[in-house]
Amino acid sequence: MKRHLSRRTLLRGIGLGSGVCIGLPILDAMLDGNGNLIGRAKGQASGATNFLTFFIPNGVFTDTFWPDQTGANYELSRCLMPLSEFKSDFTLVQGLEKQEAFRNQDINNDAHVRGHASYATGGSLASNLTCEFASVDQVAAAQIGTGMRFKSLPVALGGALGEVSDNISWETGNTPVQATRDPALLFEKLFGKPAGGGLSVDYRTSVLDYVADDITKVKMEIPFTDKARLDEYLTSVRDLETQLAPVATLGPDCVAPAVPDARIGGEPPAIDDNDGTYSNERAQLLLRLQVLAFSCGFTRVGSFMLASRGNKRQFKWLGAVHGEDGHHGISHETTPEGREAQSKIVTDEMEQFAYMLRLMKGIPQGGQNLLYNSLIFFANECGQGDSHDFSNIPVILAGQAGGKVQHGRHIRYNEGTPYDNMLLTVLRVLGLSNPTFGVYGKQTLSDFV
Amino acid sequence: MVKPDARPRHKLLQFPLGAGVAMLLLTGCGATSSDGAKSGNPKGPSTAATTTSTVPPAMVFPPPVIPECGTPITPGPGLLRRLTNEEYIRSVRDIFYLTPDEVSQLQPLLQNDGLAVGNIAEGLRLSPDHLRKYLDVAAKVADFALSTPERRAKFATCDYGAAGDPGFQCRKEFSGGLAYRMFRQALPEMRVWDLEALANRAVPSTTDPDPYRPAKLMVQGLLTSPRFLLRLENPTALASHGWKSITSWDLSVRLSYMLWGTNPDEALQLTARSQQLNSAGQIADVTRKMLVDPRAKEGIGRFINRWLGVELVSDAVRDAATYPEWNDGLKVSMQAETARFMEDFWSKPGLNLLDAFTAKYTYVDDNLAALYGLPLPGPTLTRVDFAANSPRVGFLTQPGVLSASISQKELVAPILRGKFIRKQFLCTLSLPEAPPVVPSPPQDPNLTTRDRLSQHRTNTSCEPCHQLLDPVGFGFEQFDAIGRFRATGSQGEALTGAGQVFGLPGDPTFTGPGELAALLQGSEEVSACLAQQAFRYTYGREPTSADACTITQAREAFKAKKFDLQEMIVAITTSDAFRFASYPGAL
Repeated sequence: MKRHLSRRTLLRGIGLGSGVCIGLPILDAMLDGNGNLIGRAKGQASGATNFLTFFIPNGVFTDTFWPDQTGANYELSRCLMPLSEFKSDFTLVQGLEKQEAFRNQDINNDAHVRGHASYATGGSLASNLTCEFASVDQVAAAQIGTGMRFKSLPVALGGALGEVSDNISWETGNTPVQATRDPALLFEKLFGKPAGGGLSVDYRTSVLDYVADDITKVKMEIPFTDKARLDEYLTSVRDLETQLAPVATLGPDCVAPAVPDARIGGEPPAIDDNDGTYSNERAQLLLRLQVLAFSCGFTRVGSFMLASRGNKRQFKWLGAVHGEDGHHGISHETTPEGREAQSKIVTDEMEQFAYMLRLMKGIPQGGQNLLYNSLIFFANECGQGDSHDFSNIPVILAGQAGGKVQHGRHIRYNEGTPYDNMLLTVLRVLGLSNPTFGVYGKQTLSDFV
Repeated sequence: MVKPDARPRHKLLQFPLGAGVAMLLLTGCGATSSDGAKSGNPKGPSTAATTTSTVPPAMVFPPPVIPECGTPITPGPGLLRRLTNEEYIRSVRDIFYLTPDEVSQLQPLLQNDGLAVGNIAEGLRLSPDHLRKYLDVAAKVADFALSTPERRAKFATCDYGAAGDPGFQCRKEFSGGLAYRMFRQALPEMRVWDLEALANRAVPSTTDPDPYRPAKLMVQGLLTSPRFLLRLENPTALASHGWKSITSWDLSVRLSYMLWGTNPDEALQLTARSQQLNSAGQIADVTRKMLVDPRAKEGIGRFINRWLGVELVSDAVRDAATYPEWNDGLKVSMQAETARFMEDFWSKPGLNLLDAFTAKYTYVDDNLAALYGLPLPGPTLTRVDFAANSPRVGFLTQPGVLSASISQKELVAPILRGKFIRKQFLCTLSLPEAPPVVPSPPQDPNLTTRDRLSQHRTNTSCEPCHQLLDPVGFGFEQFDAIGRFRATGSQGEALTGAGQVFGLPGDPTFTGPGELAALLQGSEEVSACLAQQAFRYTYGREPTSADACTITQAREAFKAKKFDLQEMIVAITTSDAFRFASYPGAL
């Protein structure tokens, strides 16, 4: 007799064994109809490099973010204090400028929107209100993500505005790879539908077989039509088939961090959050699952958006609130109180970033750990928040990419060094040979490759 | 390094302001250049001379500036649009006779549609995540639809799954009949066998003894097929000039989703099947019939809802301490009020849509009457007439429209309301880049909103934009963030609603929403903008220069028929662009 687990039970299951890391328990109810374990490490050699982009919005306040000294012996700034235990695992990169974000101002005069579009794409907003180019994570996924259960796995806490800024991952300039925002859905994608919630036999793959066949026949029946749209559909069918395929074994790296009781929400509200309901607890639940997707070998590429550009979240628990304009309003304040509030918010965001680094570093992998075997690109849509500035973008590169990158420094490049050079460098570290990236990325940065 | 100083400033700044604004405003076809476009010749492109039009460079964000009608019309290619979530739910509701309760269970499953904006095709994607949701919803719909004999009898003539083998003929009726309804035309027999093969993959067993499992699986396949989820078009018959004709079947689908927002019903399918949708005259007759059908209130109502912005009310947030009455019930009432009011100006032939700007009445229920300060009429919408000197006029001062267009912040209300008017009714939004450092308006709580915003007139980096916005938005200063009237502002100053619309001929001034509404009602730009929005709604894409004449025809029909929206819609559905398709480089 199979025991039926509720979704909540399963999510709690991730975190059983308070305080210690445990192997994911293989519960009876995680088996599919054929007795196969749902969730499988497919094809990943232990220690292969994972890649993640991490986004926070609204810029930073220079004085509390950038350390005074450069080199290895710099002192962490106030906002970077949450990262102190990882000082040798990341490099702080100052001086990069997103010149591409000045493009296409006649399409949208909101610097946040363009800054968001230029976060990882090397371009700006495109005329049809998407991006000009594919994002760096997707360029990488096309190479290192193939054959995985998920070619990439974008996740977001915030941003559900129904527009370009909802996503930081773009397969092509006008094809976003939609982020998963619902922890329950993210769990289902990784570990399958909890039993008891639907059919005793899952017929979804039968339906997908029929649909794939039907799409092919439609293409033959209709000579003149938007073949690209039909191909998109067929690709989605194939991708979903891969995602739903039963998984045979979980690797030894597939361990879950301990968590307190998980508070699980459904889908986020239709508009971007204004009242702080996106708690850090929810962010951390999503981060746990995202890290688990790496450690279980379900994907090799991810992106995490803590909130979308110009976000108006109210950080009530920090006392950092601003009319109805929240974080965005605070970031534009030039008063001492405003800057204090902005510094508190950025510090809080760095704590979430540190939380993820801690999880990754705690997962042993091939004699090292998951963080060591990963590369993480952290940045923002603008530099100094109050001026919509695109210079001095706060960029952090973390994880040793399997030993290819040395960290522990604060590098200050000459003002105006193209931000895209950093993205090009990231691709090179990941083993891709693209000669350039975006509009301005022509040279790699010799500190990393 | 290139610094921000070198960034291109918006072209608007290169012109004296009046000229720049005039350039932004859509003027559309001049009388002379449009003559050739009015022929509506169904046999091929119209004969208008191809003149080099003085088109301003395209500004794409939203909405685009349509060049003048100078080149002959070229119909676009056949459409391939995914159903919107709203269209999906209405279609399954109508095909399977779902109950309101079942519909409300499906709705949350299909929320959040990524980049989708209304029914614009480009944003309607079909990612693996979308597909995941469609599979879940399809399983639910199949369970609902096949749950009881009564339910099954509503849409199927054969009880596929009843005890014993229902027989070949029965199975074929079930699958062929459903495919005919769901795929919006008859399905080739070979494809019906594919459905049968899918059903046969479900074998009732001890773990799943449901005898209707095969039929349910088939329904899941039907609901996930590209023939249902996508609006496929197959324009085959060759017309002249290399154009292809949209088939009767595909025309019935275009009409149905445009006018009703749902799948064609059986009667409309019969019209298509009997080739009664071939000539422009036949299409005009069918369009007129469909427009007076109650379902048009859902279809065209959706367009009106988007035009007036009231759909945004659903997501609007208000501070509970300041606006304790703000709740879902009030939001629904607001949207219902505007929808009901607007029906008086479009849902019958011969009505003047633009009269809705200035009509001195509305419909209120208890929720709204409290907001209006009127006696409670009960829970249903009841007509109330405004006194001649009332500041309320037409839809512009309805709480739903006033709430949709602004945030609750007093200081930005005039800006956002001005922007709303420009975008929705004048089709002009493209604005210069905001200055790198946005100066905070004075925080002095002892200043009036107008005084605090006055630096927008004196600061040269603010003025070019805000001159277009603030003076329009001031017209609504007598209404708060949920559309309640107030006579005085925060400093006790009398609120007059005085403002100015730069860019309309003569840069007219006005006092109060009544005069602003009259200005808009009388302006050519409003009709031109509406025609442009109707085009976008119909075709699910942004218009290009090839569409300029189609839009002009619609606008001129609207004007010639005394602003009867139904006649504008007939002009659209009988146009070449609606009835033909062309494929660049293909014959």
